[in-house]
Amino acid sequence: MKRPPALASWMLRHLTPGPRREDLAGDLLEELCNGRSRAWYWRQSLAAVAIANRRHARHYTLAALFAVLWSLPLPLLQFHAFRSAAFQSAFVRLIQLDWPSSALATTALEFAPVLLPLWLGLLLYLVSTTGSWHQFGRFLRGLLVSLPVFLLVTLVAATLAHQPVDMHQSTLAGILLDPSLVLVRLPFALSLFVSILAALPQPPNPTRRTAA
Amino acid sequence: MKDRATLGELDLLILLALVQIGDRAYAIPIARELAAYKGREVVLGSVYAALERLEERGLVLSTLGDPTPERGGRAKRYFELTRDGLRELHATRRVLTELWRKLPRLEGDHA
Repeated sequence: MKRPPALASWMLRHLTPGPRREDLAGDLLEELCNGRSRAWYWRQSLAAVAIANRRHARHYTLAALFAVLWSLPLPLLQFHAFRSAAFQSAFVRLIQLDWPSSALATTALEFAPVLLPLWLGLLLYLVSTTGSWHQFGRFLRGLLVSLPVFLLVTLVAATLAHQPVDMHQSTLAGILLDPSLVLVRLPFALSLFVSILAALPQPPNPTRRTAA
Repeated sequence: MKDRATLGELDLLILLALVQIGDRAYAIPIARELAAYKGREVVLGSVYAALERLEERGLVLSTLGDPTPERGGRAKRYFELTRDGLRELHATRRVLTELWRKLPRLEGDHA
């Protein structure tokens, strides 16, 4: 039996996602055995890799774009949340709890204006790209991934920041124009992007219909 | 009518190729049939991408054959047109026929 080019076969095996990879590999090998050239095998393999990844590249780009756009109003949202009377009174009530409940509750309250929009964004993205509200499993997967990623990236961003961003003291204009707020948006956008990919590793497909 | 609007040229040609080939149609004969229509080589990857799309829409159905040694022990995946696929082809033909009826004749063409 004629042997296919090893590198082309490796690329086909590792760089073409999707359920039809083995079928395609079998077809290419069959044609090679029936007299097609190694150049033809290479051409077909490279084209298959390009076609298979075009759909994925679009999926990744769309997820990244959504994450960045969704992160833009975040500092404004935090600004309003932290300054609201409801937030302030809740904080005062929670800090009076016994330790460690007070620490846990106030930390959760501090993160709520970030994590709730993050999870809302994840849910909206899932529903809008798949066209279905039945996304509990995917949402849960994304949610579980978002937490450690967010904490890790926030820690890195806080380390990189020369001085902490004090949202409580900032003015509205300062929040909109301050370039240092990239470090507020970055952990959010990155966590949202990673959680979308965790929830939807493959590009979403239209609802499968049963063949007659 | 959404399905009809989104049936691209390659999708349509593949459905027609399945009609021509009949049973035991898999990607290689489909690609040969398409190459005959188009007059140039067709990339098998694009045939699979289109078949996957059509299967998701319920217009074709695939079944796995037996593994063969010349395919490195891999099985062939056969494709067949579903009732929905046939209905889609008829609907597309009706639309195209209606549109072609309004095609102006070329000068000197009496056919």
